[in-house]
Amino acid sequence: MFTIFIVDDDAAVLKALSRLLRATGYEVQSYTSPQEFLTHHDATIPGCAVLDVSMPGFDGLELQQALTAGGAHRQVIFITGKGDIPTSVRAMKAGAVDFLTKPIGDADLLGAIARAKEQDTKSRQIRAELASIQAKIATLTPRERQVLAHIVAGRLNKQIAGDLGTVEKTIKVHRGRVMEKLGVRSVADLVRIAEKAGISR
Amino acid sequence: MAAYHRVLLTGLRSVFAAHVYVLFWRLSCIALWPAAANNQRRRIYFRESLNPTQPAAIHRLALAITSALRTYGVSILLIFALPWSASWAAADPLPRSVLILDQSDADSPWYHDFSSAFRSTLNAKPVARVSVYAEHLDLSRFGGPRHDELIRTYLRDKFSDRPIGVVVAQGSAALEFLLRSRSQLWPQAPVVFASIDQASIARLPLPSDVTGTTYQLTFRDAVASARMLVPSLKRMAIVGDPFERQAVRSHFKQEVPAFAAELELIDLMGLPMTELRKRVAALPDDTAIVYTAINLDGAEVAYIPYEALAAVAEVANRPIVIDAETSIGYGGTGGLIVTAGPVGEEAAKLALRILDGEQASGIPITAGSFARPIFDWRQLQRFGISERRLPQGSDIRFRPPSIWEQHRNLVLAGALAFACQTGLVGILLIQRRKRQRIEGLLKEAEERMSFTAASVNIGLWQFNRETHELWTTEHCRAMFGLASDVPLTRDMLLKAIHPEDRETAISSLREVLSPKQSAFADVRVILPDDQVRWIRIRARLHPDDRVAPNQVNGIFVDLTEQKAAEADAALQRQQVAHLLRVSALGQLSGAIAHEINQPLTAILSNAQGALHLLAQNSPDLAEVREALQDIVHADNRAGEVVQRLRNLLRKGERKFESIDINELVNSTIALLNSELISRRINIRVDLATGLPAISGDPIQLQQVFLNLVMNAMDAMASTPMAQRFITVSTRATPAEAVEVLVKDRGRGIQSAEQGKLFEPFYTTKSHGLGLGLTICSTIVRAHGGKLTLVNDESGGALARFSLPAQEMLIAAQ
Repeated sequence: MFTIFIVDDDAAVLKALSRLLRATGYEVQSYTSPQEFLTHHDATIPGCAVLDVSMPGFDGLELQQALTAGGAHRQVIFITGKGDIPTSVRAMKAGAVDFLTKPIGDADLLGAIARAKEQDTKSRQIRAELASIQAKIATLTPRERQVLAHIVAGRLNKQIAGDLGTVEKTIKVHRGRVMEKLGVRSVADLVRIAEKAGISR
Repeated sequence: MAAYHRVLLTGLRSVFAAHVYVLFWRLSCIALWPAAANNQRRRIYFRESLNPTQPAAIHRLALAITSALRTYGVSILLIFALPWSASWAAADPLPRSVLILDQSDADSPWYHDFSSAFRSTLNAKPVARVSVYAEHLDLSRFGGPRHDELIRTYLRDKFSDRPIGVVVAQGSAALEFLLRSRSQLWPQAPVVFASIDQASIARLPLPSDVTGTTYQLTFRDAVASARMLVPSLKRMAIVGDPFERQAVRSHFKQEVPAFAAELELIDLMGLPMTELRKRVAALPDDTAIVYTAINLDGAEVAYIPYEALAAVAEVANRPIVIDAETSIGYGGTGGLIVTAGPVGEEAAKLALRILDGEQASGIPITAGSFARPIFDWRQLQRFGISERRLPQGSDIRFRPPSIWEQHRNLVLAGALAFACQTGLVGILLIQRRKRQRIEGLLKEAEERMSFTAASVNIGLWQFNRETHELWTTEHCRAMFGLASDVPLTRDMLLKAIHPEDRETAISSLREVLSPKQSAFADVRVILPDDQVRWIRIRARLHPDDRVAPNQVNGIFVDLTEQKAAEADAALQRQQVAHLLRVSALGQLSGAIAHEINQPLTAILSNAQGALHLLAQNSPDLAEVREALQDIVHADNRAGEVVQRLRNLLRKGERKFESIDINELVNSTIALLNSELISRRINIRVDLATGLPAISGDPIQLQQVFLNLVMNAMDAMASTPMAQRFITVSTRATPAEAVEVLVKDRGRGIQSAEQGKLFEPFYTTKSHGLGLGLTICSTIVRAHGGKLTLVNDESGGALARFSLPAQEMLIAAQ
C-alpha cells in the first residue's frame, strides 16, 4: 500500500493535507515534528514524504538529508509557505520530486504524488532486479567472478586463459557455468547484468 | 561772790586790754606811716627817724607823732577810750534790744524797705534774738523844742521798763533829735545812724559811741546814669529844687562845674511846674533829664517829690535819671540809685556787732556805697533803650513777668506736651513717608509682577472660600475672554469655562488643603469667538491661616500653546510609532505572509479533501463536516492574523483599554512565529498566571513587545544556531506592576552603547533607524511604566518593561 508520510509543524495544515490525501485513497502517516518522523520511519514501506520546509529546529531539507544519510530511498515532495528560489533549487538538487508552494492545489499535490509513486515503483523494481542479480552473483565462485569480470571487459577466452594462467578449455567451462548461474544465454545479457551489478569492465 | 569774781575778771581783762592797745599803738606807728605812700613828707620823716645818730631825728619823730596825731586823732582817742568803754561793756552786757527812731512817718516806703532788711539781717541767726522797736518821729512835718519834749516824755515813759541796747537813728533829723535828747533818754546806749549822707554827718558833732555808715549822692553818679541811658550824651537837663534847698544834694553845686566842659547843662531848677512841663516836653536829642527832687516848685506849690516826678515824666520827651529809690515807679527811667535795703542791712550789722560786745566807739564811721543801677522797664521801653546797654546786674523793675515766670509749670507742661506732640507728629510723618515709600514699592512690585505675569500669559488671583470673593489681575479678563464691562467675579469666570470642566474648576478651588502643595486643574475656556483655550488653574492655600483664613492663592496659566505643542508632539510620536510599526511589519512581511498562508493551506486542503470525499460513492459525511469545521477554524485563524496586522498598521489616537499582558505576548509571538523559524531562533515563553490586568493601548504595547523581540532576534544573528534562544516571561512585581522580560543570547550591550540606546537616532544595526527604543520608552512612560535594557548575568541582553496594574493606575489617576 502506497503510504504518504506528511511532516508539518502546523497541525491544521497537517490535518487538512492528511484528510485530502486519504480522501483520494492514499494511506497517510502524519507527523508534527521531523524527529518524530525520523524515529518512526520505515523505508521499506512504499510511499513518499511530504515535508514542510520551515519547521522549528529541523527544516525539511535537513530532514531529507537525514533520510538519505540513513540509507532510505524515499521520494520527497517539499511544501513551503514561502517558495524562494534558492531553497527550491537546493531541494530539487537533493532529489526532490517536487517543490510546492502553499496553499497547494490538490491537482499539483496529487500529480506530484503520482510522480513520486511512479518513481518509487520504478526504483523499487530496479532495486529488486539488482538484488536478484546480486544474489545470483553471490553464488559464483571467486574464479567464476574473475572470469565474469574478464568477459564483461570483452576479452577472448584465450586471452582470459593467458591472463589467469590456465587453458582456454577451462575458461570455456567457467563461462558456461557463470552464464548458467546467472541465467543468461548470451554474452550481451551477461554484460547487461554485470553492469547492473556494478561490475566494471 | 559772783559779783566779786566778775569785778576781778573785768579788772584783769582791762589790764590785758591796756597792754594790747599800747602794743597796737607802737606797731601802728611803724605800720601806718609807710602805708600812706602818697604822703611824701611823712615818708621822709619816717626815713629819717630810722637814723638815730642825727641830732634832728628825735625832733622829727616828735613832729611825725604830732602829724599822726592830727591825722589819726580820732582813732587814737578812740583807742585810748576803748579800754574804758570795753570795761563798761564788759561790766554790763547790753540788753538784746534795738530801738529804731525813724525820722519819717510809718508809711514811708524807704523806711519799709529799710526796716525789713534791718530786721531780717539782725535776726538772720535764730539764736540770741534781738527785740526790735520802732518809733516814727515824723520830723519832716513836726518839730520844735516843744515837740522834742513831747517825744522825749513819750519815749521815756514808753520804754521806762524796756532796756534798749542800741538806738538806731534813721535819717539825719532823727539823729539830731537823738543827739539832743540822748542824755535824757538812753545816755548809755550806743547809737548807730543810718540813711544819712556824708555831708550831714560832717556837720554834726558826734560823740564817740555814735557810729554808722553814711551814703553820698553824687552828681558824678547822675552823669554816669545819664550816659547809661543816652550813650551819645551831650546835654543834661537838671530838674528839681535848687541844690541849696536840697540837704542831700547841696554838694552838687560844687560838683557841677567839673562837668560843664564836657556837657551842656540845662538848668530847669526852681521853675513852676507848668513851665517845667513845657520845657521837658521839648528837649533836644542827646539829652537826659536829671530829676533830683521837687518839694516846692517855682510857683510855691508843694509836692511830694515823686508826685512832681510823675507830673514831669508824663510829658518829658527824654529819659529821666533819678537817684532815689522812692522815685522809682513814678516816671523816672532809672540810674544809680541808693536803696534802703542795703542801708538797713549795714545798720543791722553794726548794731549786731555792738550788741555782741564790740565797742561802738571802736567802729569807725565809713562811707557806704549803696548805689545800684535800677531801671524802670516801662520807661526803658518808652524811650527805646535796650537793656543790653545797661550795666550788668542792673535791676530792671516793672518788667511784666514773662509767661515763663508766671506759669512755669504750665509752660513746661505745655512745652513738654508740644515737644511730645511734635515728636509724635515727626514719628508719624516719618512713618507716613516710610509707608508711602513701601506702598510705592509694593505698588511697583505688584505692577512688575502683574506685567511679568501678563507677559508670560499668566493671570494671578486670590479667592476667599468663605466669602467667595475673588481678586484677579486684569490680564485674566483677556485670558477668559471677558469684555471690559464684565465684573471679574468667580461666577463670570466659571461661566467662561467649558461646561464639562466647570466641576473640575470648582473642586480645584474647594479641595486645596495644603499651603505647601499646590493643586492644579486644566480646564477649557470658551472664548466669545468659540475658540478654545486651555487654562491651568494652579492653587494653593494661603501660607498663614491666621492672616487669611480660607484664602486660596493661585495663578491661571494659558496652556493652549503647550497643549497644542503636546498634541503635535503626540501626533508626531504616533506617526513615528506607526512608521516604525509599518517598517517592522515590512521586515516581517514574509513571516506574516506565512502566517496567513498556513491557514489558507489548511482551508484549501480541507476543502479539496471534502470534495474528494463527496465524490466517493458513499461519502464519509462526518469527515466532510469535520473538514468544514477545520476550514472555519483555519479561516478564523487567518482572520486573526489579518486583524493583528491591520491593528499594527493602523494609525490613530491612543486608546486605553484593559489588557491581559499574557494574551498580548502570545498574539505577538504568533505573528513572529514564522520569522523565528526562518531565523532558526527558539523562543521560550514563560508566562506567570493570575497577573493583574493593565490599562493601556494594546497596539502600542504590542509594538513595544514586538520591537523588543525583534531586537533580540537581530542581536542573535551571529549566535550559533544551537544557542539561539529568546526567553519571554511575564511576572508580577512587588510594586503592584506587571513586568515583561525579553532575554536574548546575543552579544549583549557593549559598554560604548551604554546610556545611548534610548537616544533618538542611535542604532547598532546596519538597517536601523535608531528610533525603536526611543519610541518604546516613550510609550512605556506614557503608560506610567518604565523600560530598561541591561546585560543579563548569563550573557546577552535583558529588556524589561513594567506597567502599573490597572487598580494602581486608577488610584494614581
